[in-house]
Formats: sequence, structure tokens, C-alpha cells
Amino acid sequence: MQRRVVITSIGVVSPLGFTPEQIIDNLKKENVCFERSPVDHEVIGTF
Amino acid sequence: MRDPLLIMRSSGRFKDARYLNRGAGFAAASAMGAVKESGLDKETLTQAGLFVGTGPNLNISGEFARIRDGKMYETGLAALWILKFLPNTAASAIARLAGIHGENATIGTACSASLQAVGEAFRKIKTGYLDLAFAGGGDSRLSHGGILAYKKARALFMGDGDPEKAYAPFDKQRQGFVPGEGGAFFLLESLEHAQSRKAKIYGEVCGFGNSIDGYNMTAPDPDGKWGEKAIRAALKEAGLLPDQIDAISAHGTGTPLNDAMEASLIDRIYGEHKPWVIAMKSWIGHIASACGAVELAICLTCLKNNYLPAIRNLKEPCHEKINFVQTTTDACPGTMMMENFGFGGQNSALVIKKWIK
Repeated sequence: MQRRVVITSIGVVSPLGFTPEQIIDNLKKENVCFERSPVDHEVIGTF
Repeated sequence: MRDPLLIMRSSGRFKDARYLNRGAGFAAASAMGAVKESGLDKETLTQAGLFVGTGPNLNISGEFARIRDGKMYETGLAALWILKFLPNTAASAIARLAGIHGENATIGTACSASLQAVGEAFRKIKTGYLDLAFAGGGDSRLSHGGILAYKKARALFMGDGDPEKAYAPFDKQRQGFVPGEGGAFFLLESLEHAQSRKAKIYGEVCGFGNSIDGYNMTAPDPDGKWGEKAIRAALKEAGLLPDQIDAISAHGTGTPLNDAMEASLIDRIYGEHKPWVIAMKSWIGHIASACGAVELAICLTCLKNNYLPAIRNLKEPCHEKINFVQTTTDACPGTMMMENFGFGGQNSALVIKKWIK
């Protein structure tokens, strides 16, 4: 048996947003959230 | 910064949330988002599979009993603290919350784990073992232990200056990765199952490949020959030739070793075809075992919207023959190769297609 497989639902918690609509909007606006970590001053990605 | 457990609590009471580490919290929160969007009824959910990519909980400060002079001091240790360290705790929580009881697996293949979870779910459905499955992952390396671990492994960006300019995958001046956190889950279904219930379709999964280097405990095989094996296996399963791939979502960690290997690999496989290459970690940081799932969510969104984001901070490409996306474009890719490589020589590749009615 060989069947085609599709993706029908997305749940996301990401630095670019919580929905596909938020993600594309933040990509287009170039909204990113990198900041300096309180630990030894490394840089981290946050949201 | 948002707490994933607060996100979960906002959608209902889940008293066992206290047993989730932060990565498992992201997994559960994103999985419940996918369950909610699916609109599946309780009976159908019982038949769903569950495939979870997971990583270690490195937030270890203060969690363990102290042993001194042959005596163990465990004051303040929660009765079920072990759950914060078991790899399958996220799967257990998701199954409880959603009422999922099908075939399942928890996959711990480092930074390729969540893409592999999607690939394994794809295979189970394609071959008829399951009609539907949830797959994805969640992770966080923003704890003190997580940052220390990658710092000791010399994989972290350690420079000064503007944080937004720190992460520069495939740039000649790249200095390592910037850790991040998050999660993403997907409902995968057979096309027949999806169409029978008139489900909204985001995209098609066409092929999956997986391999292990057996070369080094952390560094990739510099020739990338086993990564190439995974990519070619995904192409073969999808029934596509390299010149039929329009765009590549590269692993692109921004470490000297990974990016050199990956750029060489892309050149070798695709040659003069030169598909677009994007690197989403430059936008979201490196989400470790969940990077593949979160990058897949973003790439499905980009396919749908005919949009390819530029690789941020890429000024001087490390490989002149690769078509790195340096300026955001409204290109219309129809096929995309997802690549993720992990510590231990873990390689995963997944081919997705834009869904056109």
C-alpha cells in the first residue's frame, strides 16, 4: 500500500509567532527577537 | 519571554503541567494547537499516531539530591521530579490531553529529531499502518545548563555587538549558533482521509530520508556523504530528481563545520541546477531537537505565500556556487527539501510540496 500524505493542521509556538498568519507577517516586517543572555553575555533567540 | 506552561493553562487546566520541562511544555502547547485546529472528534483522535522529537532537559540546576559523606539529601525534591527528565514525558502529556492512543514513538536524534518524527509519521501513513498522526517537537536550550553545554562544545556564538547581527549562517565570518526555543506539531493524514472530511491542506509530504554518520560524536562527517545518503533517499522516495527541487531549507547552524559541509553537499547534489537556499535559524535561533518542526511550519507558510526570506546577516557567502537567498523574494517554489543534521552524526531530510487544489 502506498498512499499520498498531506499536512492538515499546524500548531506552532515560535519566535516568529503562534499562527501561520503571524509568521508570514513577522517575516515580512523583519520582526526578530534576539537579545543578550544574562549568562556570560551570550546572545539568545527569544520571543 | 512567554512561558509555554502558561500558554497551556490559558487553554484549560492541566495539573500535570508542573512535571513538564520547558521543552516538553513547548511540545505540548504546540501539539494542542494542532489538535485544536484539526477539529477531530474524540473517537478519531483515539486512532491517531503520535511521533515526538525530543531533546535532553539541560535545566539541571538544583534538581538533584545532594550526596555528601555517603548520605543523600533530597529535601525539596518533588515526588515525580523524574518526569522532567524522561524523554517520553511530552508524549505522555499530549496523549493525556488529546486522548491519542495510536502507534507512537519518542525520537531523540538530537537536532534532527523533530524532522525525523514527521518523517516517521509520514512513513506509517504512507504504508497504511496509520490513517493519521500528530508529529513534531518542542525544545529549549535557554537554561544555564543548556547554554553551558553548547559553550563547552564550542558551538555557540560568543561575540559582542548587536544581538540581531550575531547569527550569520553560511557567511565567511560566521561564529557559531544562537540558541532559541519553541515547538511545532502537525497533523499528517492520508490524502483520502483528509479529503473525506474536507480538511484544509497545507502541503504534501513526499519523501523522507535518514542516516547516521558513524564519524564523530559531535562534528559532522566533513565530506557529508552520509548526509547526502539521507537527502538522496528522500528524493528517491519522492520520485524526484535533484533538478526538480526548487528550494532548500538548510540546517544552516552557523557553525564553521556544519555550514562548510552542508554547502559542499548542496553543490555536489544539485550542481548547476542551483535551487534557492534559505536558513531559518538566522530568524529564530537554533531550537535544537525542535528546529526541524518549527522550520517546517515556517516553510509551509512560505510555500503557501510564495515567499522566501533572506538569510539574515549573510554578507559574504562561504560557497560561491550556492544560490543563497540574500534578498527576500516572492519566488514561487513548488517543492522544498528540508535538511537537519544533529550531534552524533544524525541526518534527516524531508521533501514537501506546495498543495495546489
